[in-house]
Amino acid sequence: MKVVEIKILNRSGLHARPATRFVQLTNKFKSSIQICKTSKCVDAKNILKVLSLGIDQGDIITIKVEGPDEEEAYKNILELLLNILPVEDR
Amino acid sequence: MIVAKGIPVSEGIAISRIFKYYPRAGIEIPQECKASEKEVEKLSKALEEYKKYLNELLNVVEESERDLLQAYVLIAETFVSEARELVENSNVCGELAIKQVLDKYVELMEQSSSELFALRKSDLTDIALALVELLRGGRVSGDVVGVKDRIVVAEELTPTVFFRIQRAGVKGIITATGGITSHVAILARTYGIPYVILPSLDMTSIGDDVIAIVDGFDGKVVINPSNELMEEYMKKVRILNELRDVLKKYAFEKAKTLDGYEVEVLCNIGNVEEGRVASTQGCEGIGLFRVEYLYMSSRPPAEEVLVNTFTKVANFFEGKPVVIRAPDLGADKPPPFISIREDNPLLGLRGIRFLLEYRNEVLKPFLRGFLKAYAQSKNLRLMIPMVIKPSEVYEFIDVMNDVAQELGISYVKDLELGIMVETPAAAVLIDKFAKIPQLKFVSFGTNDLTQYVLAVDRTNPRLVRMYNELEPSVLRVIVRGVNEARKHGLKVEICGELASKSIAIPILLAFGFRSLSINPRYTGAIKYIIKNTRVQQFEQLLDAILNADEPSVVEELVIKTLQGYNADSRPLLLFSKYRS
Repeated sequence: MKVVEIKILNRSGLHARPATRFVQLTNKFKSSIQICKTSKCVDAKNILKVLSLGIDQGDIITIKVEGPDEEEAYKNILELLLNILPVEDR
Repeated sequence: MIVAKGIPVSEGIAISRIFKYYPRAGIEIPQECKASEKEVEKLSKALEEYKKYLNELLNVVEESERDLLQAYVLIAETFVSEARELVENSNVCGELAIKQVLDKYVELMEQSSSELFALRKSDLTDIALALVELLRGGRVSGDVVGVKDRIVVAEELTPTVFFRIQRAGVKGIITATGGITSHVAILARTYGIPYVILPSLDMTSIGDDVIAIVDGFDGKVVINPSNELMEEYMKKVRILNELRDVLKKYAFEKAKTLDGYEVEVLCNIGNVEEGRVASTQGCEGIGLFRVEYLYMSSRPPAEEVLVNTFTKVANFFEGKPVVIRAPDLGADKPPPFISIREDNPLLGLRGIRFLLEYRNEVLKPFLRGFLKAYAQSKNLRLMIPMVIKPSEVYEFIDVMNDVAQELGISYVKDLELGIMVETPAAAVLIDKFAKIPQLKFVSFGTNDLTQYVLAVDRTNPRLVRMYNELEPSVLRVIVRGVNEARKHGLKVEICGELASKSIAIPILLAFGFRSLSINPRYTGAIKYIIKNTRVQQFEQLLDAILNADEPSVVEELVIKTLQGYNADSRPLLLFSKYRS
């Protein structure tokens, strides 16, 4: 299992649009993926649950990935949250 | 003719006939039902058809809006996959399963406190009902045939309906409910469709096909306008069309007058979301963050909420000033958690008076939150409301120093502290305030200042015509204060509504203001006026302005002078009627 704690950098946080991008990505992988904020964890493939965390810019979140393609999922998720979204959504 | 005042959501003016939009009639869903053999298959088929429907929309909306429809796809998938489980496990029919899943998420949504949960209950209901319609073998309903070039009137609109009416050629929108930061509001602004929210709207009282005007600048709706008003608005629309693109461009430029004075254009906001939006509309900082909204519940906000709120807005404007005004509670905004009975609240326990009275309950926790946020974000500044004499400011500073000591912080001496000049007392004592070492700026709050100078309650409908910030008495108080402040080296700002009114801009610049804090919607228009103003010309006019008999004379003087040197006065034509 891969676990990482990161700070959300893009302006709108995991608000409707960036959340959509995020969930579209997580759904591409077989691994089970969870996203947590202040110790509340939800299925990262369910957009409504991700939105219910109300993740905003500056929030610290934890991503947990477990499964056959966890390496790749982990890499892609970090790329989206740390590099792609902060540039697109400044 | 009926004229109604609502909330302006998306700028622009539409004149056309009305189209009343009714969403799909509420769909009856049985309380109990059994799954048929093919229930799971039917669910999958409904999902496929709904995705096909969304895909058709996806092809015609702008690139930047596709994510929202993609979110709809993901939500529909979640709904159907959970409904499928319910059908398999408890043998209910698909419709009821969808309804149960919908209810579950609506509840989750209501619990989620985040103001960022921009998808609303109406979005979820929209998706669920569309799926139910498809399950029953029907089509996604909501007739928009005939919307072309019309003004749509509805209780509420969902984004999918918006896309369909937009595609059908809608001219303007009026709804009874919705929010300035809702998806439909953002979409209306993106697509440039005038939109006004009219909470008093009664759809049954408006006939189909009647002519209406939607004024997205003033938030005005006119049903069956008179010929005169129609003509006036037609003229405005012509000017507007010419100006729209120009103003958008100006919003992001530096504002410099024709004779070379640089003017800082800051914005006023009333919550975090407005700050987020303001940071993308050409605002060069925040000159007034009204934080009273945080106090409008059964107890004062937690320290953590304060820190988060201030830090977030500070981050939107990194390296630019963000002025937090200490909460101006009392008067028209009494906090629910403290009961105050007063015969005359506007002259009562409010602003700094309230804060000093409830220092343990409100002021100290506020300052703790503010100073903690300031520790991380040095672009934050602090402003004190409703002061009438320096001793209040000294007392405020004492409390602040105590709090700083408790927190063990020493940098509080670098903090830029200011006062809001909104009482005549403060305006005439600026030389005294200037002696307070920590005081760095004053900001004129012209709304209250006007009402106190004129002794006119600005919310009293019978006095509407008497409340006017361009009354020479008010202008004299302001100009005197500005002169004193500049003489004593204080930075001078203005954050009242006067600064958002284009006709007042040349006067304010002639008074010596070089920093205006305005409504974010007007950054383009105000910067445009600044760039067309020759300050020296208006400085020569000061005597005439301050000796005018009526505000209308002041307006005439400004317009004539602007036209006199052939500046482009189109925005003035557009905005000068702000009081009509």
